[in-house]
Amino acid sequence: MDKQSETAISTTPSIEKAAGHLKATGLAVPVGNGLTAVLCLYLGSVYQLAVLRALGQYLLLLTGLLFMIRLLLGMKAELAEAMAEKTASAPEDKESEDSDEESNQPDKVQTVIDKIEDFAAGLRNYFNAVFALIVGIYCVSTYSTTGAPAVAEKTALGLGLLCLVFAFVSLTVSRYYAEQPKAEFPEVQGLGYWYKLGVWIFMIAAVSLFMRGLKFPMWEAAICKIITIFIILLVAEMLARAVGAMFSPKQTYDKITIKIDFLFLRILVSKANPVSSFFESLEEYFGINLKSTWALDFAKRSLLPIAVLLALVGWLCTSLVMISLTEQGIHERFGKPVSREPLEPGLHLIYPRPIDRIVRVPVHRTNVMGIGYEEAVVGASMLWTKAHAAEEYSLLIGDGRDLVSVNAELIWRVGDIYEYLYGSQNPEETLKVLAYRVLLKETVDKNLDGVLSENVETFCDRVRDAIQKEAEGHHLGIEVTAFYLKGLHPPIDVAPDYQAVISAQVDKVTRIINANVYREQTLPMTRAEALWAVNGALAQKNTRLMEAKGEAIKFTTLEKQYSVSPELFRMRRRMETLEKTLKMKPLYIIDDRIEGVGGSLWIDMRSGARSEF
Amino acid sequence: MFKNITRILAGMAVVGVMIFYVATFQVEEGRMGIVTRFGRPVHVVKEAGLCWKWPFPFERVLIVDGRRMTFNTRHTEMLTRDKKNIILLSYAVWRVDDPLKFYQSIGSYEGANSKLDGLVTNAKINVLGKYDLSALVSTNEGDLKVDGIEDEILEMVVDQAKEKYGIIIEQVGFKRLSLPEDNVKYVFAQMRAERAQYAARHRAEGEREASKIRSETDLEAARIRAEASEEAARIRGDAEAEAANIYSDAHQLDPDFFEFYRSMESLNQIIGGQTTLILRTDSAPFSFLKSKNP
Repeated sequence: MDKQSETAISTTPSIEKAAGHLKATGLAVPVGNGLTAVLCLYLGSVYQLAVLRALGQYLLLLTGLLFMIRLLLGMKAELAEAMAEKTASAPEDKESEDSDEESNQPDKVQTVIDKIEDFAAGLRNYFNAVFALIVGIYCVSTYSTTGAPAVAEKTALGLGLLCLVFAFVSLTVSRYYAEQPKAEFPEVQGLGYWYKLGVWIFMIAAVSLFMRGLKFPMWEAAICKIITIFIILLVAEMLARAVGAMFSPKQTYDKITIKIDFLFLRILVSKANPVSSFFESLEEYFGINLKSTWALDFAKRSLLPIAVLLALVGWLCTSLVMISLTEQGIHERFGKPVSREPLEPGLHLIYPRPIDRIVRVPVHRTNVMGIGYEEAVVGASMLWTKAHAAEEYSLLIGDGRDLVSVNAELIWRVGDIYEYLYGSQNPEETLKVLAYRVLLKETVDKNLDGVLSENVETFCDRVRDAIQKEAEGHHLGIEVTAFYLKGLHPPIDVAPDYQAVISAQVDKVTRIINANVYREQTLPMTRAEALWAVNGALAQKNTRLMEAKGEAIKFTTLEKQYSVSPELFRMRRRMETLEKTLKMKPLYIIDDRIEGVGGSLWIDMRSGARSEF
Repeated sequence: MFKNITRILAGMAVVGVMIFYVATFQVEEGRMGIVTRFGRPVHVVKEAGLCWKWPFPFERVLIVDGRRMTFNTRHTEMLTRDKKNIILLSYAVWRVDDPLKFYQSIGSYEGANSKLDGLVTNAKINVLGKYDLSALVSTNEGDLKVDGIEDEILEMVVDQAKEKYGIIIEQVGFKRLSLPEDNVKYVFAQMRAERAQYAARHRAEGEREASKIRSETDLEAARIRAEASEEAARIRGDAEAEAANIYSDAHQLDPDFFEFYRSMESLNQIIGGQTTLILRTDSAPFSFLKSKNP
């Protein structure tokens, strides 16, 4: 018990001092730190400045550690109070009821001691580990997000100033901690390191913000990445220490601290400038002493002259300008062109930057400007009825009753570089409007049929010449190489009806052809019929004549016979005829004397019948 | 000693650079500068080159771009005199003539563009209200007055721009003439109707031609047939006539004989089939039935 109280008494000064520190700084430091961290993060997200975000992350990490230290200090202060009470009340109760008092008082002290030891074994490590993990994940997730900063130059300058102010505050705090006795307040060294590094980081951030404010945001992303990597290294070490502490043997209450003098910090800030602190760490850990090497000495001596020489050479480099194959340049002195003649490709020697400048323009490259549409569909075919651009303009023509769509391309290049650079602010836009104007004038006095039936080649040549003339009139310094019509057609909505007219024309021809076919079929057939009829008649005629002729010959032959002996012939002939005609016919022969007197009525001359004379 | 000289030289260089940076300014070709002392304009620089001024708190320089600028007015729908709705897209080419007035009245290019937009659009509406649509688009070239209208609009705006804003408007031009979307639908309908008309006409012409050919063909065919019949009849007639001639030629030789002969032939033909004949015995050969003498 005595031993205990003795040891308790022997460690009282540090604990009292701790209590003193606590009273002195209280919550100011952790809260102030936390607020600064939040401010940096907020500003970083509002202005999309990655540098401020990295700052915020660093300060956040520190805030966590500060809260832990604050807790520990609080507990140590409690312990100091308890011990003070004990020592205050111990002499009075020494005589009577020793055993009773002693059994009570150590309880209070013991509970606090237990509390501290539990804190060291549990909350401190878990909190450190988890907090480190959270911040680490945050850092890693924002490592590669580089959004475009949305900050005006003046705001960037202001933020840079703010960072300088914080750097100054950080310097003050680190100085304050540097003066505290380390033996009594072990965390002080670590805090000093953190704030010293904070100074460096704030200053670097300020410089990068100033650079942005002066329109040179070149290394900002790199700086930010470096800071983030460093924070991740610190997080890793914090995590490692917390996990290590979980598995290390339990410490006694008086030895419990929160070690925050991390290795990575010590490497950079144990001495006033990072280089010498790096060398000191090297010596401490690896035993390599570089401080007195000749190389280092030389490097130190020649650093300044070399830096100056490099700056000078860099400055003089701006006096050598290379103009590449497709470009031409204008030589400006103090902003005024030295001559109107452009400089040809090659290497040119001029006075360095603020005095002379060469402005380069790609002159030989031809550019294509689309006219009459927006956003061509890549690879689309130029069909009248299929859309080949997102939006095609319809030109009003034909007394306001026709609409036509024109798809054209204007090929141009920079002709006179002086006029191109100093004549207009937007020569390309001017060229475009002039092209539209020329197109308007060319089409406005025609109707759709007139436009569609124009000779495309002469139309394009005319338009190109007109645009060139306008461009010269406006001193654009642009040369129009060609104007191509890619498509000239009625608006897509009505194109099918135009195609239908052609179909109707074809239809007309088809009908006429069909009628001709009918004609070609009918007439020959009719002629054939006619021929057949006539030939039939001729054949009949022949037959008839032959008949007649035969009859005639027969007659004349018989007549000759007749003329030899007419009566005989007559009789013979008559008999022959009667024979022929009366043969086998029923005959009734009546005696002619019946009409006179006494004659028989019937004489049947047929065979089988009797005859009477 | 050497080090001192170097240090002095370096110091002088740094001071020189600082002075150069702070007390001079460059005006690039095509730009103009306004030098103000505590806000009060002191001096306007219109030529490019290097100029001197007192450093920052005393004098400041504002750079104004004096090059030509083309901007497109926004789409506005307007009425012509004959109450036709059109959208006339136009543009204006302008440049800063008096940088001081420009900066004091407007101060920025966006502001200038929007003020000019208002000015030009106003003038456009006024001027176009005096012309028919045929002045803008017509197949009769004499009606077109596009240039004249552009000049009129320019006249209306150029003085105002110069006096109020220190800007010279060099040109106001028309880019494109088109119709409001609703009107476009109707124009399309009209174009379609017109095209349908042409198509119908072509078809009708075709039909007419075809039927003409067909009817001509039928006519021709009938004519051919008629001619043929006529010819055939004529031939037959000829044949009969000739046959008659042949007969009569032959029969002229002996008319009596012909009578006889012909009668005999007729008897041959007439008496056929089931003819029942009643004859007398007073002609041969039946007279021989009475006696052996005729």
